[in-house]
Amino acid sequence: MLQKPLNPGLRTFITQTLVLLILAAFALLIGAIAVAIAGKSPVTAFQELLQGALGTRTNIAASITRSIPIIINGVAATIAFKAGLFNLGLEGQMVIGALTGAVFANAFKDLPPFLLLPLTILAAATAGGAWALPPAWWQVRFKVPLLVTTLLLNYIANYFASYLVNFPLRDLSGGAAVPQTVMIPEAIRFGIILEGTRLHAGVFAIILLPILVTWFFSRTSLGYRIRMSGLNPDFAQYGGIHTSRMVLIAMFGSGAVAGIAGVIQVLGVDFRYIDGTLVTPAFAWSGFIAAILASSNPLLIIGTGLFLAALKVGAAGMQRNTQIPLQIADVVQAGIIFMVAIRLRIGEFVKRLLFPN
Amino acid sequence: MSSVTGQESSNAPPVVEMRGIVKRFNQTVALNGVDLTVKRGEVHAIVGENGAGKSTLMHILAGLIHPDRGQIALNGQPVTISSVESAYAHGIAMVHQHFMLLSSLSVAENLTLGKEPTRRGLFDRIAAAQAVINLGQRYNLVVNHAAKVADLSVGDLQRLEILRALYRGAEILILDEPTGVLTPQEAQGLFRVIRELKRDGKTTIFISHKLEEVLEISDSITVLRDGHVTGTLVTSQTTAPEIARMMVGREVFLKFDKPQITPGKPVLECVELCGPGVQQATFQVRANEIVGIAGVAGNGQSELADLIAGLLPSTAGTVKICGQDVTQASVSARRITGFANVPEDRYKHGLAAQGSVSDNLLMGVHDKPPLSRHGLLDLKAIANRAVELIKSFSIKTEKPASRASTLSGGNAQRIVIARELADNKPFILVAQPTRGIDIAASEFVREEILKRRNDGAGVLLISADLSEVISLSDRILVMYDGRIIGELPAAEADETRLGLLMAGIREETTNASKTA
Ligand SMILES: Nc1ncnc2c1ncn2[C@@H]1O[C@H](COP(=O)(O)OP(=O)(O)OP(=O)(O)O)[C@@H](O)[C@H]1O
Ligand SMILES: [Mg+2]
Repeated sequence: MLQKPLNPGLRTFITQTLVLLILAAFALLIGAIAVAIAGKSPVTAFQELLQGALGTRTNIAASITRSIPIIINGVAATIAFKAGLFNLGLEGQMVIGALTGAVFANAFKDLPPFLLLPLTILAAATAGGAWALPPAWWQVRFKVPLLVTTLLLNYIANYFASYLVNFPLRDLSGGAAVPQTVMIPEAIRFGIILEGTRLHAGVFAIILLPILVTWFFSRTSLGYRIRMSGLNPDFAQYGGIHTSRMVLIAMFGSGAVAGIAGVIQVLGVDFRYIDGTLVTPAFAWSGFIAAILASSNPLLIIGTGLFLAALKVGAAGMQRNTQIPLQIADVVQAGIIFMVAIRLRIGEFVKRLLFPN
Repeated sequence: MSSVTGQESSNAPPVVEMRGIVKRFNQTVALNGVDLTVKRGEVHAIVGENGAGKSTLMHILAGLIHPDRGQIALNGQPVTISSVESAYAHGIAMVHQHFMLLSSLSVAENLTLGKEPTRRGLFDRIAAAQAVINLGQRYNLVVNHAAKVADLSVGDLQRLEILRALYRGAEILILDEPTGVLTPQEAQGLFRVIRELKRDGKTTIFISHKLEEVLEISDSITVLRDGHVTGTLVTSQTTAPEIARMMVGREVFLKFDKPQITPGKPVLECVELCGPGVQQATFQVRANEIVGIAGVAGNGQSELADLIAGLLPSTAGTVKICGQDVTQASVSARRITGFANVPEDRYKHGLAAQGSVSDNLLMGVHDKPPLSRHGLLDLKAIANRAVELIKSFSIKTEKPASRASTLSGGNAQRIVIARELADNKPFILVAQPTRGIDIAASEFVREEILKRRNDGAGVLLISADLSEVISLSDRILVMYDGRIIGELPAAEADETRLGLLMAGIREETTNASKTA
């Protein structure tokens, strides 16, 4: 009755790969249209974009450096996703973490570096995590949607941090125009691991954290409990899991990782907290998208995060060389989100096109 | 094997004709060349074991999934049903095994969703409400149009789903295990609706595991087994054993013996337990004993179960499990004392549909050695246990890592039963154990419950299926209006005596005045 035209597993694989390629092509096409509307040549634009992102050793290093906060934020977003939560407050948690880290490192600068470094990271993580707790509590206790409160707390975090570095914590020594803290002790700054570039030791976190989080969710009882609370809270409760507690723990974890993303920028790039440097490049948002693209698989975020970082870095290079605005990268990014949203539809379509009956 | 022969309208083409339907999911062949012929205006039953392909076949007809192969003709015209919308356009609508309604919207909004009445471009609330009332009156399907879907009972939800189908102009109504979630009384109500639809010339396709129902309501029957059609029958010319044989491929015995055992120590003690919907429940369940709770649904059984499980807060009284007072204890503390719970609503409480089969089998024992030590899961031990449970409860799944949502309805239910009956817990609370489960597997589940009782467990059984309660229980409690109003040894229980009690008429008052 049944003849086998193609192994079904292979069939799915072919379909999925094709879908991804179509996705990328569509997103690039949207970008190309935007470039054309701006009156430039899409071909040059993409050549320059590719060149800017991956053309030289320096550019590749710049892309990887850029991906560090994006990937870590992506991991942070994933921790909340697993609990069924949308943590839109990554930015605020990152800012609070970074500022706390900078202040902590300066306050205890006499500690030996091998103690100061981990404690600084720990302080940043704790602060980021703590900043994520009130929205979790409000949701659990008063049913205020976390999606909204986390987002609102970003503004408070940003303005609060901005006030602090403008006034009480401002570095007045150099007479710099930028509001910033004093520099952290040299001994705990991350070293450059690729000479002639800005790629710093913080890059190990983009491998370490995704592995750690993957391990946590597949191998620990707490990870299981958080996942089940995310998949079906009624079921989790029935099984004896304290779902409210899971919301608090997952949000703390998510905020802590965002805080680490922030402090890694302080330790590896800026060496101090500088007003606005974490907010302007939209690391948190890109991280969020990287997580969604990776269907919240932490290991895949390494890939999607690198891709988004390369896109941004490439676009900056393109702007330098061609005067095409770098916002094209945002257009492509938006195109990708759009494509992901309709991915399922394409999948069905492609399958029927390839394998009618 | 008798076959459907044309009666009055022998020359009119069948309203539905599916030919050679093949559907594969990865490694699973769900349908392997299935033919289905349904005549206009009839009630056509589809029966078969869990995972036989019933829902899949109907999903194809309703446009939810596409067949890999095969043709569909409606009224003799070949058609391609590419989406739910196109199925609607052909007058086909399906009421699912698990409802698909938007729970934050009102009844009227849900009903009209996708075909909203508008006035000056805006949603017309009044017209929507009127639509609910009109249709409801015509078919005897009364649902409060202003209620929020989240607040409705299952029976109401189902009536709403049917109304929704009719509102969209359905001529062919597919009901996937509609009675699974209904009380016998509600099921009778549904059958009245189906007969009404039939009088209107509409066609109904009806899936059920309950053969009495199939015999009662259907005109013809298609039997599926493992993705094949093993029989097409005219209902008036067949019997339950014949259908069962075609479904299972062997004889099914619906009898088992229950050895007399003297009950041991109490494993559950409720004293004057009060809570939402439950008043002063005092009773015990002892080791080696099955205590059944009979009652018309909505008389506090579900709430009593939730109070015992710790899912609802009690307002007075005490609950002891295995001698420990757990009145104030959390769900996990109760589970640690040795308590298993097969919940009534499997999809709400019993499963995470998007989780893997293995994840689902782990719930409740995720902190128990040897599966988990010091907060670390032992994946090997967990996998071994999963494989063992999948095997012993014949859960039809591709692999333990498959999502629970890819399992057929009955197989998903088996996950819950397998998980809860495993690990020799001393007290087992089971609600509707065989709901949604095919006859052969129901037989197995009942035997399994009995085996646990023989091995020393105490079982509290809540079931809408009176014959199940009578055949399994050692003692039967009857609940009415939140109270336990009577107790009978199973040997003295019969459907009439229980029926009276369930209607709130106590033994002592039956002979005197029936004013209760
Ligand atoms: N989305 C899916 N992915 C993978 N397998 C699936 C999917 N849907 C159904 N199946 C498989 O197809 C087979 C038939 O399933 P179907 O739901 O049609 O059974 P059924 O006859 O309705 O059973 P039940 O009485 O338990 O509801 C099962 O083995 C099931 O696991
Ligand atoms: Mg089914």
